[in-house]
Amino acid sequence: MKRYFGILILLAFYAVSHAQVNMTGKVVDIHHKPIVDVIVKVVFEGHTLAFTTTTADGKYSLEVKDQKQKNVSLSFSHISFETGSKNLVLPRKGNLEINMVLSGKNISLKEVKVRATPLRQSGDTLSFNLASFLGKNDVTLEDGIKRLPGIDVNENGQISYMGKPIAQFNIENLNLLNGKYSLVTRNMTADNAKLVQLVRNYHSRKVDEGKPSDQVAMNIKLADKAKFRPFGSEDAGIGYMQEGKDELQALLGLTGMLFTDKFQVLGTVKTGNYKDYAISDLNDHFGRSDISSLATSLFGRFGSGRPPHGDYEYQRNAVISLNGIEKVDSCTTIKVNSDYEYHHTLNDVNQRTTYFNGSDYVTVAESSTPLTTYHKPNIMLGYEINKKNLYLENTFTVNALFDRDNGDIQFSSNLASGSRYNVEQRRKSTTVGIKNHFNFFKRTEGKGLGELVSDISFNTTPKLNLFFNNAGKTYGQTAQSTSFTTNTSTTMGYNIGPNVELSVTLSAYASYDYVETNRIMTKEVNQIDGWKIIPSIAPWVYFKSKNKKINSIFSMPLELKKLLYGKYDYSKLTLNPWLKLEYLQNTNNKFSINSSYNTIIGDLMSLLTDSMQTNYRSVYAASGIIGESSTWKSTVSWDLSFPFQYISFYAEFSHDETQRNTLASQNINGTNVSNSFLLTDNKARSTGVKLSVCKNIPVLVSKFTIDAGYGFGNVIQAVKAEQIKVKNNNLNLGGKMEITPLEWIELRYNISYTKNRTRYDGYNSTIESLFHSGSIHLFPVKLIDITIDYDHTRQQISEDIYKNMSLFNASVQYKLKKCVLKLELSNLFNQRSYSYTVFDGINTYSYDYGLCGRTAMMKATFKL
Amino acid sequence: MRKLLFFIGIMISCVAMAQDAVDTSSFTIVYDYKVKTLDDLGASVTDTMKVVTLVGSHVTNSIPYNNYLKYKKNYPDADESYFEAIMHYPTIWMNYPSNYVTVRETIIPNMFESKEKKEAIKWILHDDDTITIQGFFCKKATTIYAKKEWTAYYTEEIPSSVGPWKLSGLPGVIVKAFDKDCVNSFKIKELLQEVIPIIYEPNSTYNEVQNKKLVDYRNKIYCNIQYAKKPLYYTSYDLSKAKTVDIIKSKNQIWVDGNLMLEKSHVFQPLEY
Repeated sequence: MKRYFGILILLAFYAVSHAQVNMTGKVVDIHHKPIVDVIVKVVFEGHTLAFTTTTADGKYSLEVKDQKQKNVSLSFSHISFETGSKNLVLPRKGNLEINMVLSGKNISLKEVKVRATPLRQSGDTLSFNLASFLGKNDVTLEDGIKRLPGIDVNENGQISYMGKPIAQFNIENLNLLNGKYSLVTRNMTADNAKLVQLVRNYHSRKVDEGKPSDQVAMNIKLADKAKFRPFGSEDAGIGYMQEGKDELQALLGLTGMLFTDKFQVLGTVKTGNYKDYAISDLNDHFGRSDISSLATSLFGRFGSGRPPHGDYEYQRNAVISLNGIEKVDSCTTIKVNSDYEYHHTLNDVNQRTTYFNGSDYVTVAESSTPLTTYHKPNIMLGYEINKKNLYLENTFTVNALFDRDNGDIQFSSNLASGSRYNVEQRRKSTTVGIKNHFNFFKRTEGKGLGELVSDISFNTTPKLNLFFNNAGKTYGQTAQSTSFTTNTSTTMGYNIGPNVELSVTLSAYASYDYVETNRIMTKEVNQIDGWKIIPSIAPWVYFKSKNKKINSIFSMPLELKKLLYGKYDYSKLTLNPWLKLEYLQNTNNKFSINSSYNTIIGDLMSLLTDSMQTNYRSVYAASGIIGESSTWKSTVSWDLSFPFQYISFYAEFSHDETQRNTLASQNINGTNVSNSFLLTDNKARSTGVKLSVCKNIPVLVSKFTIDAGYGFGNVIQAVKAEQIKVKNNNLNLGGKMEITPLEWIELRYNISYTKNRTRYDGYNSTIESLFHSGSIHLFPVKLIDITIDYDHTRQQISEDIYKNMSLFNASVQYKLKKCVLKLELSNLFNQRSYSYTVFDGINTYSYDYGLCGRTAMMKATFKL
Repeated sequence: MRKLLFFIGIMISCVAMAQDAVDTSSFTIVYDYKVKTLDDLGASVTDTMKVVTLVGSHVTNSIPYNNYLKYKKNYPDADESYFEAIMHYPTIWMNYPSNYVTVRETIIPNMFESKEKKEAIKWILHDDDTITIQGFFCKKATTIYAKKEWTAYYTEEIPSSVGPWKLSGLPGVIVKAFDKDCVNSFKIKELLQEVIPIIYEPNSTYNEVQNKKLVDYRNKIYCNIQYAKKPLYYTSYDLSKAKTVDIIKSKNQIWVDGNLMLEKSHVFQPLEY
């Protein structure tokens, strides 16, 4: 009985497993021609039970195995035909033949065009599709770059990636502008750039590829419309400044550029008296066109620089720049950069300085109106061959600075309460510099390598004059200096296998310096010249692990520092080892350790023992002792990014220790400040941590950045030959947010908080500042951007005194295809001053800058 | 007489062109093809190129984007050329000849062509697993094809069984497809309604091979661990036999007979075994 029952169950299973319907048929059009690729589906309550497609002869065949569903729909669909369907009652099993005739239809597709991929990663290179990140109000390339993840552009136009300034800026892989890249980022419209590429672990020389690098470079890939045709922009604007020295404000500028595969050229002519228009284009973010001499470093300008927020009360600027680069072949370029800069500025500054005088404090209040005028021409010629096994570069630069500075001052002191004194200060200097940099590197066919580097520079300040008139008493100071420096080094190396490279660098540094100073009041004269000669040998080892995850360079330069200044003969042998170690978990996750020990010795300036009048009440004299300073500096950093999640993270820990054998001691006599030097060993330490996180949400055109830093340290200072240990702590927190919650509105908000604490000899003081700024952009129609923005600062001036300051601005921008019109209303509430306080160890400086008044400017930028 | 000869010449050219066109597309799908891989130094990279599926009445042609631009008589995209060179995407005619799949590929210095019987992919439909991608309501389907697990999202809004590469046979256009761990992935980027001839130029210089042999040979060359470091070693080219040599100085690239001579490449991630 059990056996029959088992057989019955098996039969039932067999029957169920074979309970299937085979469906076949043919699909034809109304002309009875077979239709290929028709999708034939059997659907029951929205679920597809079986499907197939027709063959070239229009036939189909499919099987429906589940016999439970009876009422099904058989559909026939094809993109070029109307969909046909039949409702069927399926039998439990068997064969069905169902043919179908479909009638043709016009195809009507919902066309889709997805925006280009916002980000592409290829090794160390992140390529951002700029159009994917642009906001509605963005006009210039700089506006677009600011939107990119992890990238920040400061007020001067300097571009940073995770807090680290970029080391090179290329356009179509050509370095046209060196550090003056604001010329292109501020004058090219964003629509002319297709991609912004960020190259991490960057080496400007191809021969260095694969070695550890902390550098980041940016490359702009142009849109097709920006290639092979000249284009540019023209600015014109007119405005009014309330209570301004120049009430009529104006600007005028013309910029043209041409980019081809072989040749790039960019020229600009601009002038204006509106804010920092024109001059801001020539900011050198690499600082290579700066010019200074021994004389100008001894006797600096009287002005205290520009206000941290707001603008100078009065300025007139003009720039002319012409730059060109020719690509001779795929690896060779010839480049010319030339520019001229004119800057004329006036400011009102009230400065309150509190000096610690050993037991009490001396406070000096000064009101000055520094008027600075300079002319700065600069020309640079460059030639470069950049191959994987050969690098040849020669750069020749000539620049000059014609500087004139008037710093009239009113001052008073707590030592003479109620008294105010007027002082005239005048400074005039001319400095000319010529330098040539030559670099040759060759990797041979075998395993050898050789390098020759030669730097020759000459700079001179033939005359620097200072003149003071203090209540009818006139006195002055003159100075002149000339320096000639040559530094030649050669490197020979050998690769031991694929992972280790051994090299040795021999170098010879020699500089001839001549300085003459004459303090007219006391007839104290310094006149000294001589040579500084430093031959050195630096063996170094480069190692990379087999899996390329660990890279390291270790070097141990041994230097003989020899000074021959007149009868003075000084020699010192120093060892300055350094180490760079990287662990690359992958391209987006890097740990780095940098550590170096460096000994610096004094120079000619240490022997200027006769006093020099640096301003109307400060006198400086050097110690006559060649100082020595040894610094050990270590940094551990972690660079992590998730490019496709638009998240970047950077963390850094650093520690520095410096040991010196001389110590400057401050002496206050009345309101006059002088110094002396103590021959004593002293130490300074500082430790810091830094964190930065950035996240973009491209769909919302949003970007969020958080920065934090904390540092502490101590330094020895001296007053009246008495040593004081000064301890300091500083904390800074910052955040930035850009968000587009709705299509017609965009919000930006920045906040930063800093707190500095100084302690010495029972004195304990803390200064806080809170800065926040925000802007609201409204787009009532597509072409119009209405912006309201504000800056608010709360600055602690002294223990119980805080100063609040707000600047409100508004603008309306109308963006047409060929022109952008903008009405700017600056400083709406006519805020006329900005105050802040800083510590310099034992001294405290409080500044109160005059700001330019309420200003209206109507500006038009035409695309050419 | 000269006019007559000129006219005859034009006619012959047109006939020749017409013979090369094996079908006419009714619409075009552009996919982003991404490959997660490693560069020659072992660092993670994601390579991206665009591949185009031209959908004809009976033939479907899957081609790299620059071939599509060539069909449209546009200039090639230089950036795309580089990724096309390192990602080794073949040209595929589905259902040409009828019920066959034709594949053409250059593995420097040789050109290969294979013809194999069209194989119906056995998809498993997951009707309850749905998602909206690029505005299309999509359903999920999975399969094992060419020894790899594939997941596809298809839309019934476009009643055509086409997709990227050789993936096809679903009751709707494939919008997105990816293999295990998303190493290879395709995602629809553009859908265009346009008429373009689908061209198959007979060319005797192609070496005819079985598809299995072509796949094995391709994987043997490109999957070699040293290939990414020294691609020219594995794909040596006899320059003396080259018909065209183009040097693009601005990009430091040398193209020989339309093939980029790569100094470094990325690790190849096969679509099929």
